[in-house]
This record gives sequence, structure tokens and C-alpha cells, in this order.
Amino acid sequence: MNVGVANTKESSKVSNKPIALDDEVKISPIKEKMKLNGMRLALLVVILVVWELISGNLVDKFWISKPSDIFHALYTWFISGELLFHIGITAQEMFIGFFIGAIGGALLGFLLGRWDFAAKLLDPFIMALYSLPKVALAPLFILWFGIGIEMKIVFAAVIVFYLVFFNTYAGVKNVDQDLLDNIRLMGASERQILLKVTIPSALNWVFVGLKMSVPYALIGAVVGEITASNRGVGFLISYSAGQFDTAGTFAAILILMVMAVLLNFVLGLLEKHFLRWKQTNSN
Amino acid sequence: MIQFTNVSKRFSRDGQSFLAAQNINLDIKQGEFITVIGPSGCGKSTVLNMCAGLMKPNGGEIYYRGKQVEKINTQVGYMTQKDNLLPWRTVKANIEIGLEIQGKGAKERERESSKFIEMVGLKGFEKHYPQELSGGMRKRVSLAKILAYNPETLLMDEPFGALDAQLRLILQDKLLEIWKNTKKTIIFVTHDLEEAITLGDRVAVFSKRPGTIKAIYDVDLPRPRDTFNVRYTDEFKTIQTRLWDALKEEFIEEGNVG
Ligand SMILES: Nc1ncnc2c1ncn2[C@@H]1O[C@H](COP(=O)(O)OP(=O)(O)OP(=O)(O)O)[C@@H](O)[C@H]1O
Ligand SMILES: [Mg+2]
Repeated sequence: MNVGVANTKESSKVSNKPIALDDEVKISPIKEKMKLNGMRLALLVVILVVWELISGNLVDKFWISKPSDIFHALYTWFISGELLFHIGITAQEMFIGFFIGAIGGALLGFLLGRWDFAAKLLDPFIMALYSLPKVALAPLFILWFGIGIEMKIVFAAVIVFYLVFFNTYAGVKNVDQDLLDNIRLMGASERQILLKVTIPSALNWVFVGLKMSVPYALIGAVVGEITASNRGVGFLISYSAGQFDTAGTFAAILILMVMAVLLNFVLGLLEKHFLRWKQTNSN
Repeated sequence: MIQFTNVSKRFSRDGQSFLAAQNINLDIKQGEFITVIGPSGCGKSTVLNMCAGLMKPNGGEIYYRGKQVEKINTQVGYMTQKDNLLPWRTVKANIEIGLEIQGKGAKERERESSKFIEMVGLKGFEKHYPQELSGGMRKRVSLAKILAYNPETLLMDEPFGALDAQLRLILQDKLLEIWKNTKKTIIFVTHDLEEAITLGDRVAVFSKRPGTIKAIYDVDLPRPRDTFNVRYTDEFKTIQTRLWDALKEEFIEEGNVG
């Protein structure tokens, strides 16, 4: 009788054995990746060198600046402490805006997902506000909140709110009915159903919304700063451009780019951590 | 304990409606092991769904312990054809969910889940997620899950369908043992005639759609039955021949239509 069970145990061991094979498979992708990254670096260097060479010779430096000037601008800002100051401001606006928007969006999405009548009632209003390009709200927010940090926070929060709201709503609506039936049959209370099925299932969607909205929070903060402000990376961009300082403009854009890339990287790590059960699927 | 009286179920699609089950009459005694067999699409799962209170019959009534089933019937544990595991829970956490709902402590949950994980031969896979398992393994997790929280009645929809013949015999044996010890009532749907006879006190044969119970056969093989060898006895073969004759017609007619 135990023969079969022993068999399945053994098969689990067998599947653990070909580790050597796994390693082999893994080594070549790493090599490949290093090669690829090497080529990317080379490409970057070529671009920078060409840029450096044509600037001032083929094209006027005024239009395209020059890598060495850009790095010099960055260096000056770094030494004077401006660099960290402006990055700090933008990051602060972005994160506070993100949290307010995300919490609000998740709460309302969850509420409307569970409360059909309210969802139906509010649907046209929500859609109307959603279709409105959010940039159009910037002047209004300046009127309400001035040109300080509050306006950017609200602006970022509004953008994030919508993304998280829609995803949460969809997540709650899309909980697998069979899973709900299944846990109900086991005698679960409404509270247990919520905690053990609805929320974990919706969380998957909420996370997609959060992930999507982090870059938008950055966009919100920066657009707010470009529109009206005296600090932040967005301000650096518009100020430098206003001074016809091409190197400074490029430098500020570069800072923004690095911030966005770092954010995406951190998000990727967080997702790997929280949605571990999902990751295993793709392996 | 469970009574179906003139139960019928109608589904509609694109404005047309058709009967999935009609005139089901069945009386199941407490502690009985009844197996259900019939061609695919004849309404077996539909009947189980109605018994669990997930669907309402369009005609007739279903009684559970004398009370009409009108909402979800939490007295029954239902192992559906689909495995319905929670993808974000590990094997162990999936198996323990029924015990969590009952408010059992961590120690007891641990004890029960490891017992049933062992039983279905999934030791070493406790920390795996459902996506990392094969179809047959997921079925075994569902089996362990439904057994672990110990409902008084089990509805099982082809629980062993995805398993190899060897493992199927082992699990049949374990199920019979659990049934003997716990005196549960079991309705067990299968496509395998030998399985239906090996396990059941009675076998209900469904006709093809619209499904109705064509005949109910008593299986008077002595218990405890040896799931590995009972099929080689003469009594078994007699029953098998009789049942096959009844079942065959349903497939032949279907073949002619198709
Ligand atoms: N929710 C539903 N809506 C519409 N039609 C359905 C639904 N569920 C089942 N049916 C139809 O009812 C009939 C019976 O389905 P059911 O799932 O009960 O068959 P079954 O006997 O369990 O088949 P199988 O052995 O293949 O599992 C089928 O024709 C199916 O298409
Ligand atoms: Mg079925």
C-alpha cells in the first residue's frame, strides 16, 4: 500500500537531482547577460564620444550641449548641495502624493467593489473626472494650494488615486466566484471570506495599480514643478532652460531619468517579494 | 439523509433553454457511500452543485437532514472537478484553510494537515504553491483539504480522475478507511465503472442529457473491500457486466447521434 506513496516521494527526490543540469542552464544566460551589458556600455560610450565630438564642430553647443559640460553641471550642483536638495523635494512630493493617492484609491476601490449600488450611482461622475486630462487641473491646484510643495503632492495624489482606484475596483470585482463558493461551503463568515479570499485576490490587482502609478507620481510631481515652483527637479529643468543653460537642462533630465530607473528597480524587487507565489509560475 | 424529489435543472443560453437534469429521485441514507456514473455532460456535476446549494433546482426539492436546501449547504464538503485552490497559499496553507475557518489552533491545524499531506503522498511539497504542482498533485491537495476539515458529508466530483491507476487504488483504499472510521455520507461521481463498484454501496447510473437516474444498483460485495483485488472476484464481474449493459446503451445512442 505504501508503494505508491513511496514512489511519489522518490519522484520528488529525482526532480531535485538534476541540479547540476540546472546550473549549466543558468551559467550560459549569465555569460550572455554580461556580454549584452558589455555591448550596451560600449554603445553608450560611443554615443557619448560622438556627442562630445560633434558638439561645437558640426552642431552648435547651444542646442545639444556636451557630455563633459553636463557632468560638470551635475558636479557643481552636487558640490553646492543643490542636487540633493532638489531631488529630496521631488522625492518628498512624489512619495507623499503617492501614499495619499494610493490609500485613497485602494479604499474607495474596495468600498465601491463591495457596494454595487454606490458603484452604479457614481460611475458616470468617476468616468467624467477620469477622462479629464489631469494636467488641466494644475492651474486650479495652484489657485487652491499656491506654488508650494502641497500643490505637487495633491497633483501626484490625484493621478495615483485614479490608477489605484480602478485596479482595486477591478480586483474586487474579479474575485473568482468558484473560490468564494468554495470557502462559503466550508462555513466561512463574511469577514473570513473577505480576509482569506477577497483581499488576497484583489491585492494582486492592487499591486499592479501601485506599480503602474509610481512613475505617474513622479510625473505628477515634476509636471507640477515645471508649471510653477522654485524647487525640485522639475524646477531645475525649467529654470535651466529658461536661462538658456542647455547643459543644466540635460543634467536635470538625466537626474530625472536616474530617479525613474531606480524607482522601477525597487518596485521590481518589492513585487518579487510580495507576489512570490506568482513569480514561481513564470520560472 | 439526503433526498432528491423530482429535481430538474434547466439552463438557458442565447434565449434557448435546455434541461441538464430531469426528474432526479434519490434517497441517500446517512453513512451511505453512493457512487454516480454516467456519460460526460449528463448533469452529474449539476446535481452535486444543487446538493451543495450552489444552484437552485428549477423543479422539485432537495432535502438535507429533512431541511430543504435553499442556500449554501455548509454541512457538505464539496470537492469539485476544478481544484479551487488559493494560488497565493502554499499546499499546507490551502489544506489548513477549513480548519482556520473553524477556529482551530495552529497545533491542531499542523497535526491534521501533515496527516493528510502524508496520506495523499505530498510530503516534501508543503511549501509549494499550486502553480508549481501537476494537475494530479493539485487534485490530491484538494482531497486533503476537504478531508482535513472533516465535514459530515462529502460530495466528490471525479476526485481521482487525474491520477495514475496505482495511486488511484491507494487513495480509494484510504478513502474507504476514512469512511469506515468517520461514518461519513459520500456521494462520489466517477467515470470509471470499476471504481464505482469498488467503492459504492450503491451505484446510480445516469442517462445521457437530459440526465436522469436510469437505474440504481446495489453492490452487495462484502466489506471491508480490498480495492486492489476485489475486481478479480466473480461477484464483482457479475455486477460489472450488469452495469456495463445499462451504461453501454447511453454511449451507443450518443454515438449514433454524433
Ligand atoms: N452554469 C451552467 N450554465 C449553463 N449550462 C451549464 C452550466 N453548468 C452545466 N451546464 C450544462 O449542463 C449540462 C450538464 O453539465 P454537468 O457539468 O452537470 O455535466 P457532468 O455530468 O458533470 O459532465 P462531466 O462528466 O463531463 O463532468 C452540460 O450540457 C453543460 O453544458
Ligand atoms: Mg462534471
